[in-house]
Amino acid sequence: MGKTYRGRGEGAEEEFALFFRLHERRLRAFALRRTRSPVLADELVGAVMVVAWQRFDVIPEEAAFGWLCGVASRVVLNDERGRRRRARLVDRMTQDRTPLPERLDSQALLAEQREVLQAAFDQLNGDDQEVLRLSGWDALSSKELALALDLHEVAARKRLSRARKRLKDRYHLLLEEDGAAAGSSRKGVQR
Amino acid sequence: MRDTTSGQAGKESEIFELFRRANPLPQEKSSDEAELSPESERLLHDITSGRHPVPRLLPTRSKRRQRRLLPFGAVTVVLSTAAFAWVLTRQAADPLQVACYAEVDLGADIIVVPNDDRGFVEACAEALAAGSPDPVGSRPGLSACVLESGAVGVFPNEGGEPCGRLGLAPLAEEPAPGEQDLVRLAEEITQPFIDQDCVEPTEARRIVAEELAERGLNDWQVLDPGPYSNERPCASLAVEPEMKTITLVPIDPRPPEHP
Repeated sequence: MGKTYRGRGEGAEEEFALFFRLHERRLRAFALRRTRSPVLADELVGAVMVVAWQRFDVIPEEAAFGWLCGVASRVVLNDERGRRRRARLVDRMTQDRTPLPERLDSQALLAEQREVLQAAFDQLNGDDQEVLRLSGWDALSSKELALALDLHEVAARKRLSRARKRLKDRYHLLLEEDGAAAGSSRKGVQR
Repeated sequence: MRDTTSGQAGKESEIFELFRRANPLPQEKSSDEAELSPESERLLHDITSGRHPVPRLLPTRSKRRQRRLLPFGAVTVVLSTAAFAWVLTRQAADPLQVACYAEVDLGADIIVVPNDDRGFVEACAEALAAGSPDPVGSRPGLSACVLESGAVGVFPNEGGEPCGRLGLAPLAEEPAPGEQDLVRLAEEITQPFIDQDCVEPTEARRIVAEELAERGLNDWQVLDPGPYSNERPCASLAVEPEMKTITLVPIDPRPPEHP
């Protein structure tokens, strides 16, 4: 592992404050994409950052965001006081239904592209979807991917490569199916 | 083949670029000049002052336990239904908590709750019922599956066989050896910390040492990195079964709860 942050001691709070400012917004976007709920995203960011503070001295500086993503996938939104907080969280979850984009962004692509791409993405398994999201949407580097996925860097790159290929294959297959169905006046991708 | 010339994409890199552009939320770049919202400033302060609760972590995925595959050979030809089910079920890598999903969708809202001796499904039934507008009892049944991480996820049975539909293994009916002991340990060791507003570090170390000794868990370690202070004089704890570690964490006293 490369250089890590300093552990507890003089100047640690200032250094963590810089770390927090550097990564908090990006982590919040990651959490919103994953939880689709502002309330749960808040919980997740808080939980991940508190682990980061507890383990500040083991976070590799050059792949810190990947480390945060890895923790986010393992963090439990609960603690030993959770039995009491749980009911309140459930209440807030049921009240807070702020709509967030759950699907691929419809503005960035042509409608047909989006439909096919969405269908292709939905057909991938969870591992493929996760590595594509981390690389494509969270912009993780190879080192960060490796940390986030708990893999060696070479294995993380391979997983991404295979996922990209499968996305392409599914995309083309669906286009072909759609083209074949076009003769019988079928429109759009049936899902 | 329909005409997609206006947005032609064919190569792997082009399709990945399409996917990248379809990011449902704008990508946030890291920036050390980022202004924090008042809420984020408060969160930062709470974390560094020890006021934010410490979460528990799901165990790191164990590559060796990820899949249980039969070797190729004649045995695969004579797999019975029962044997097939045995191959596909898994045991929980972490029996101490369970993720309760609101829908049969890995992206659905989840509540993570501690497991207890009633079992994963019952723990989720209670948690989901607490947040449901429907009367208790009107919810469909629940099924326990093992997530990719090895943790247990409980899903509604709507539509049938949620584990299979999500590509997950159903939770094995038989718990792993020692699983119930671990659940009881976590329950009993955390209870004093739930009941009391402040457990002093000395008392915390005594509780943990006694509970571990009582169960003969001599290979577990207790970490107590501290430091405790006037602001954080109490001890909380985190149980990490995969690491066989219990970590004591300084926290502030819990303020009295108002109904």
